[in-house]
Amino acid sequence: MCDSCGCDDGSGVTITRLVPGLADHHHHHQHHKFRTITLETEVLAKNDALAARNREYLRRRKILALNLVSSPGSGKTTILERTIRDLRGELAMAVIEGDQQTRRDAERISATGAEVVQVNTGAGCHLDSQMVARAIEQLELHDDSLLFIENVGNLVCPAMFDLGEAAKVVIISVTEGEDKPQKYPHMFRAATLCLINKTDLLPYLRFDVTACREMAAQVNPDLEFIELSAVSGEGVGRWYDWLRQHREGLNT
Amino acid sequence: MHEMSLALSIVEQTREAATREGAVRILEVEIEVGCLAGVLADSLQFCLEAVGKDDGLADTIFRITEVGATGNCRVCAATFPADSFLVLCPSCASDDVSLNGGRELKIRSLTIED
Ligand SMILES: Nc1nc2c(ncn2[C@@H]2O[C@H](COP(=O)(O)OP(=O)(O)OP(=O)(O)O)[C@@H](O)[C@H]2O)c(=O)[nH]1
Ligand SMILES: [Mg+2]
Ligand SMILES: [Zn+2]
Ligand SMILES: [Zn+2]
Ligand SMILES: [Zn+2]
Repeated sequence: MCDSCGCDDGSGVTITRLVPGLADHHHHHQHHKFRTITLETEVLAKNDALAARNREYLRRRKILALNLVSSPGSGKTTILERTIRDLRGELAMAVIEGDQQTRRDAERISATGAEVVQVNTGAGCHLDSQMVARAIEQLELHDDSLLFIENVGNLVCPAMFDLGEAAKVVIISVTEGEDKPQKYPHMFRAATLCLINKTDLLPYLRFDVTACREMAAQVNPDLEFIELSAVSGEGVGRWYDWLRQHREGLNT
Repeated sequence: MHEMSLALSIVEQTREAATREGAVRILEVEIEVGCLAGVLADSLQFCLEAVGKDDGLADTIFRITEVGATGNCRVCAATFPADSFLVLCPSCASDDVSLNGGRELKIRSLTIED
């Protein structure tokens, strides 16, 4: 009997457990040839390939897709509700909502009248490019529009999964502590724009906006910042200008 | 826990490659993880073993190799090993440092039995 696989070419019973999905065990007994094959495949190759397809589709239709990432509760949905209400006469906007459970955020967006699809990831802690591809199929998207993708509230793995967006927008609220950029450098490194939200609360807190920007700049010198409050509306004009400018940038 | 999604993806791609090659058994999978890839090697190892066990690869060895990054100082041109996004040049203490490498996340090779 062979030690490594338990096969037996003598008398008696052979019990062979086949590894699911693998070819049959051939019994030409010069037996057990091992070889090493070089793969060099990117672990995220499938996600990245599908993300590239999403990106190309969106680019052709001149749709600016933004991947909104943050810790839970920083105000992503509130910012979207306000943005849609303020810009709906000017720009077509659609939303993909990612949460582990519930349709609550999609219902909030739906109440503004915008196109929205909810993706529930179950145990999953991030959106991937396939979920987004399926959501895009279900949405009625307009050419020359905006597509907001609200990722699952999590500052860790959404940094790794390309969805096909034009840019990642990281949101940090002033109740979170100014050192978030250094604690979660991957996300701040991957982002193009950082929204510092809930500035209406600054008088009650000891959040140092300058220190926060400096810490973020250390991990990503190219990161842009906009301070705003989705509740009071302070600073939202600069966010809207950023959106207009990047949407128009797709025309050239 | 993105290590779990990564483990699932590694096992799936490993299996596809092994089937393509007509393997009967996968002995070893060599994985390369950069120190700036945002992946905890220990956690990935744990997930690979858990996923492998559920997926008929209980005896497969998942070998993770961590690879470093290099910092290049833009002020004094020093080159040095780096293991985080927040590095200061060891020669001149500047933080104007560009980083190369360290983002790897690859399946390098498979050792299979024909
Ligand atoms: N004071 C103040 N509160 C805000 C602001 N923006 C959001 N909030 C509040 O913060 C809480 C969380 O806001 P959401 O918009 O649900 O946050 P989210 O990031 O979408 O949360 P998840 O989807 O659960 O990760 C709510 O109670 C909001 O009313 C703001 O600018 N100022
Ligand atoms: Mg939300
Ligand atoms: Zn055998
Ligand atoms: Zn995740
Ligand atoms: Zn230097």
